[in-house]
Amino acid sequence: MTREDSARLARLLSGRDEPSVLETEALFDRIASDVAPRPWWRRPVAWGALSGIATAAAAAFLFVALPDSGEFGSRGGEEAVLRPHCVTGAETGPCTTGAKLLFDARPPEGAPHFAALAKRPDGTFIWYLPAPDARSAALGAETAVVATAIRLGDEHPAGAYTVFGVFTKDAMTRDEIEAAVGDDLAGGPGVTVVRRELEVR
Amino acid sequence: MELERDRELLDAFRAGKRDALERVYRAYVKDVVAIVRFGFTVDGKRIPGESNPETQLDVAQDVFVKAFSESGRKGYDGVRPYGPFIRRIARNVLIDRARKSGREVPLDPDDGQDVEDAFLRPAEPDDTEAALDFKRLAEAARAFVAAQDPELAEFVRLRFEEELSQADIAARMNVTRRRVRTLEGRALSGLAKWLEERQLSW
Repeated sequence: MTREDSARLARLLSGRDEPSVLETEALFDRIASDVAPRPWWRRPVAWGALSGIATAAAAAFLFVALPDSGEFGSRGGEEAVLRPHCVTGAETGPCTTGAKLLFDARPPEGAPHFAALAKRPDGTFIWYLPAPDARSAALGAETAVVATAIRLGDEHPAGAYTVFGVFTKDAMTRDEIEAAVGDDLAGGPGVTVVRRELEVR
Repeated sequence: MELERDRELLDAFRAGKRDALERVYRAYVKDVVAIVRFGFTVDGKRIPGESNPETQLDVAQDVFVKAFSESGRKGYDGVRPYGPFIRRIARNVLIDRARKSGREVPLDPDDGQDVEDAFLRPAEPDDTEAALDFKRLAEAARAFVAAQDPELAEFVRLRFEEELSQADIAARMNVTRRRVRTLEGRALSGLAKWLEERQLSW
């Protein structure tokens, strides 16, 4: 069902042919994203490479997932697992432009919904999951590959990255996740943030 | 919701806190959309609203972005009622749009002039084909709700008629947010199926 379908049906359920609660709530999200003070880590924002279109970049950056350092462990949920890795075709290997970035993940107890973003070497954050108009999806209880793969393009230049996995109790939009993790990206009650370092050589 | 009488809310609003902005937004979005939709008159001169539903929301967005921007928040004195303040912004946004379209409009609609928002006048019967079509489908939606279990019917009343947030409904019905989302999905998909089974194009 599209957003337009939902809006039409909501108007019918309200009995009034005027913007429904679904439309006005969506409108508020747009307004809030325009005017709400941005946390430092959200300025500026680069869109995630969710288009699925391989970028024909001349340079092929090597994108390597480092072992968990321990320095950036999970907070508030020791059982959370996050392992970013790449595949090219069907083969696991180094992450280069055009490769797909995947996440092996397991949620901590009580926070099954998963979101992912990364901080680039220049400080810009890239959203991966959820999609701009979607809410974070729930994962199973066991470690598994998250269904959505990220095609790496020009928005992933060389350098050291930090990938953030955000596990929450409820399904959330990007704006809600931003509010939940806080300016320091530390998470909070019901929100577990897991950091992993990646290096682009 | 009286922003001028709630000091805690006013402080949070001025600081641009999302929760405060949302409370103020929910209190005034109907008025703003109505002004954008139906327009207003100033000294007997009519400033038309926007007829396109998508444009209405775009213009309403402009109004709230102006009102909720840092300068907009600081421009509100916190003493006088907020309603007239944001309605004036809405009228000015409509005036700006009218001017850009080449229409001659007054300089300022609130400087001692006689202003009347069109939506405050008694509505005239709308017997256009689109209105009649909506009325027919809305009646079918009422029949759908009447055929549902009490929990779903109560959810529809709170969510779509009273327009409460999912969080408020969860508290009101003493259920989880997940349950509220499930009910919302059931209401929307159930109505779509109900209409399609009766070959009603919506």
